[in-house]
Amino acid sequence: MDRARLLDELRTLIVEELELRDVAPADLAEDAPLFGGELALDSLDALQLVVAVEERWGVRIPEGDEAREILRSLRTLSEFVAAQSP
Amino acid sequence: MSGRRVAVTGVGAITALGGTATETFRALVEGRRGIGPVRWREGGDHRTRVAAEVAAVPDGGGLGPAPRSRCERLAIAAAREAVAVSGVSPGGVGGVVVGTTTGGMREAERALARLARGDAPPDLGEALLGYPLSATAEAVARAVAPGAVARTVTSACSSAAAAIALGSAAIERGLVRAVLVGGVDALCHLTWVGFDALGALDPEGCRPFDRRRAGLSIGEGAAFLVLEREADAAARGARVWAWLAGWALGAEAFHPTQPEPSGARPAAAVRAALERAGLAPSAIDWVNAHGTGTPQNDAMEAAALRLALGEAAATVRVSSCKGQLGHTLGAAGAVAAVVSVLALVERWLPATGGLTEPDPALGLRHVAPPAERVDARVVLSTSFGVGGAVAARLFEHAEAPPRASAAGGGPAPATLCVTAAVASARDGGAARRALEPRRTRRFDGASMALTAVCADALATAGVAARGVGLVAGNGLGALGRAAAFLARVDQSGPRFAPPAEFPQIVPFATVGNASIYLGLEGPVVGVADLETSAEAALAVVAAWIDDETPFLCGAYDVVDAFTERLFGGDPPEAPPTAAAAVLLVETPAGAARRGAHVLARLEPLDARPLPAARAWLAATAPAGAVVVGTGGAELAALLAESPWAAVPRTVAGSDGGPHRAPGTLALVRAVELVEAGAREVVALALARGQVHLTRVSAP
Repeated sequence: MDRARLLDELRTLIVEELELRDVAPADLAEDAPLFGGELALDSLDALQLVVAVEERWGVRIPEGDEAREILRSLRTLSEFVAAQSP
Repeated sequence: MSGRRVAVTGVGAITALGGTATETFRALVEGRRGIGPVRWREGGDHRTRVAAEVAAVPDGGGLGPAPRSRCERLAIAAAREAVAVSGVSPGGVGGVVVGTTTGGMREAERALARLARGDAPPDLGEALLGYPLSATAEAVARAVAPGAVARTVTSACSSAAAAIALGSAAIERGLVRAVLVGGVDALCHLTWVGFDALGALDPEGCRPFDRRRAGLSIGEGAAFLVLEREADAAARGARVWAWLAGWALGAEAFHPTQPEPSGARPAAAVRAALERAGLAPSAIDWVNAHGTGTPQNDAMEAAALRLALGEAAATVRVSSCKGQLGHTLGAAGAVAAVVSVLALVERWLPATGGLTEPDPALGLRHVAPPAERVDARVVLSTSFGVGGAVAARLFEHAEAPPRASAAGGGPAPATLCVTAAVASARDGGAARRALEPRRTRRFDGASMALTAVCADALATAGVAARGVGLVAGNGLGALGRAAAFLARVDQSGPRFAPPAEFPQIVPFATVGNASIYLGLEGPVVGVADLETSAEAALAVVAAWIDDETPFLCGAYDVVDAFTERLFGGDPPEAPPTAAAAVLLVETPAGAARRGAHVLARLEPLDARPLPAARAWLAATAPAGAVVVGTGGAELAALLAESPWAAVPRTVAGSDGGPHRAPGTLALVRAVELVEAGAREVVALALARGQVHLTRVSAP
C-alpha cells in the first residue's frame, strides 16, 4: 500500500469520524500523540476511531495495551494498518 | 404536619424474572438469573449475545385501542397491576408519569433504517404509530387511568427515577391525589447495538461489583407505583406498602458516557434525599444500588457512597439487582423502587447476582448470593444515566412513625418569575458560531440551538450555571439521526456501529449536552408531549421548582430532510435547521433573594378540555394580548366565538424557525410584549382536544 496515500486517508478519516471541524487533515502531524495531546480526544473517540479503521481497512485492532500502542500516533496507526491489511 | 407523607399504595412490575412485582421479587430472592442468550432477532455479528428478555408479554388489550408497541404492552401490564393492588379506582388516578428512552423504537427501527437507505417501507405508518416517546404514557393512561394527565420524562437510564420524583412532587404539592409513576423500556436493536458498540456490555452477563466485571446486560421490562398522600390513603383505608421518604435529582455535567469518577454529584443527591427525609446516613439498612456492572459505574458508585454516607458506607449492605434482571434502562429506576418497597415488606434483601469475587477496591459490604433475611427499615435506591442525570430515593418501612421533617413541601408557587427569555435565530447559524467548536463537535443542530439559548439566558440573568436545572421538551427526538445510525448498522453490521454516535441518539442527549457544556448540575430532564412538549416542560418545572433552584425551561426542534420526507412535507435544503427557546424561571422568593431583575410573572394554568376552555374564556376578563403557540386554526375559532375575539393576537412559530412545539417560543413572545408595556398576555396552545393556558403579566 502507498504509505503517503494511507496517511492522507487516515488523516481525512480522523477529521471526519471524530468531527474535528476546526482541524485541517494536513495539520495532523505524523508523530504527534493522537490521545493525551493537543487534539484533546477521549475514550469515546478511541472507540470511534477503532471501529472506523477496522471497517475501512478490514483489520482487527486488538484491545487493551496493544491498542494504546497502535493508537499512539498517525505513524503507529498507519504502520499497523499497512502490516495487517490484506 | 401529620398525614403529609408520600405513601406507596400500589406496586406492579414485569421483568425477565416474572410477570408481576411479587413474582419478580421472589425470583430475585431465590437467586434466579433472567440473563440469557438473546432469543429476539437472530443474526448479526454482535459482540454480546446475552440480555434479560421478558419471556411472555401480555397483549395489553382492554380499554381503548390495542397497544402499538412492546413498550406499551409491558407498561400497561405493570401499570394495571399497580393500580389494582392500590385499590384506587381508575378514575381516581389524576396523573400518569412514565420514564422511558425507547418508546416504540423496537417496532419502528426496521422501517426507519429502510427509509434512511432510500426504500419506501410499505408498513411505515403502522411501524411509527407507537414511535413518539409520549405514546407509551398516553397508552397507559387510556388503558388504566382514563382522564389522567399523561407525562413522559426522559433522562436516559435514570428516566424512571425522574418520573417518580415528578409524581412525588405532585403529591407533596397537592397537585393530584393519586399518581401512577414508573418506567418502561423494551429491548431494541438500537440500544443493544449502541451499548455493545460502546463496549459497555459484558458478553458473559453482568457481574456488578465483581473484580472481573466487564459491563452491563441489557434488560427490558416495566415497573409502576401508585403514590398518594398519607391522609388520602388513610381516608380510604388503603394499605401503605412503604413511604417514599425523600428524593433528589441532579446532574454530573461531566461527559456523554463516562461517569465523573469522584461521585460528588450522586453523593450530593443522596445527602439531599436524606435531608428531605430527615434521616441520618446511619439509618440506611440497605443500598439498592444502580450497580450496572461497568467498571466505571461501580467504582464511581462506591466513591459516591463513601462521600455521602461516611463511615456507614463500609457497613451498610449493598446489592444491585441488575445481575439478575439486567439493566432495564429507562425502567430501571422504577424496577429498583418496586424491589426496594418489597424488600421492606417481605423482609428479604436480594443479593447481587453474578457477584462471586467482590472487587476489594470498592470497600463495600455486599449482599453476595444468597439473599439475606433482614428486617430493613430504610432503603436507599440510586439511579444514574448516560449524559449525567443522577437520582436518589429513600423508601421507609410502612410502620415507621412520622417525623417532623418528613417530605412534604408547601403548595407549588402560584406564579413564577421569568428572569430571562431567549429564542434562537431562525437558522441556528449564529448560535453555532457562539459556542466552542471543539466542545460541541458531536452536537447536532438541536443541541447547538438549546445550548446557545440556555447560555444566553444564564448570561442575561447573571446566574451561575451550577445550581440551575434544565427541563426541555421535544416531540420526536433525533429521528433522522437514529434512522441514519440504524441504516449504517444494517449496511455494515452491528460490529461496525459508530460508538460515538449512539449517545447522541438517546432522547436525553440534547438536554444532557446542554447540561455538560454549561455545567448545569440541577435536575436535568427531557419531556415529550408531541406539539405541546413545551407546555409539558413548564408543568414539570412548576412541580419541581423551589427557592434554591432556578430552572431553564424550554423546547427545541430540528427539521431535517428525513423528518420532512417522513411527514410528507417538502424536504428542506441541507443542512438541517434547528431552533430552541428557553425561559429562566425562579420562584418569587428565589428571585427576590438574589435581587434578580424580573422580566415578567408567569402563571401556568392547568390544561383543560375544549368546553372548559370555552367557559374559562367566557368568564375571564380578556388580557391585553394573546400569543398562540400550537393549534392555530382551531384556536382562532375558539377565540373568535369568545369575548376575546378582539384581543390582538400574535402567532408564535411563524417567525421562529422549525418549532413543532412552539410553546416556549410563545412564552418568549409574551414576555417581550410585557416588556414592551403590555400588562397581561395569555399564551395559548390547543392540541388533541386540550387547551393549555399560561398567563404572563408585568412583574
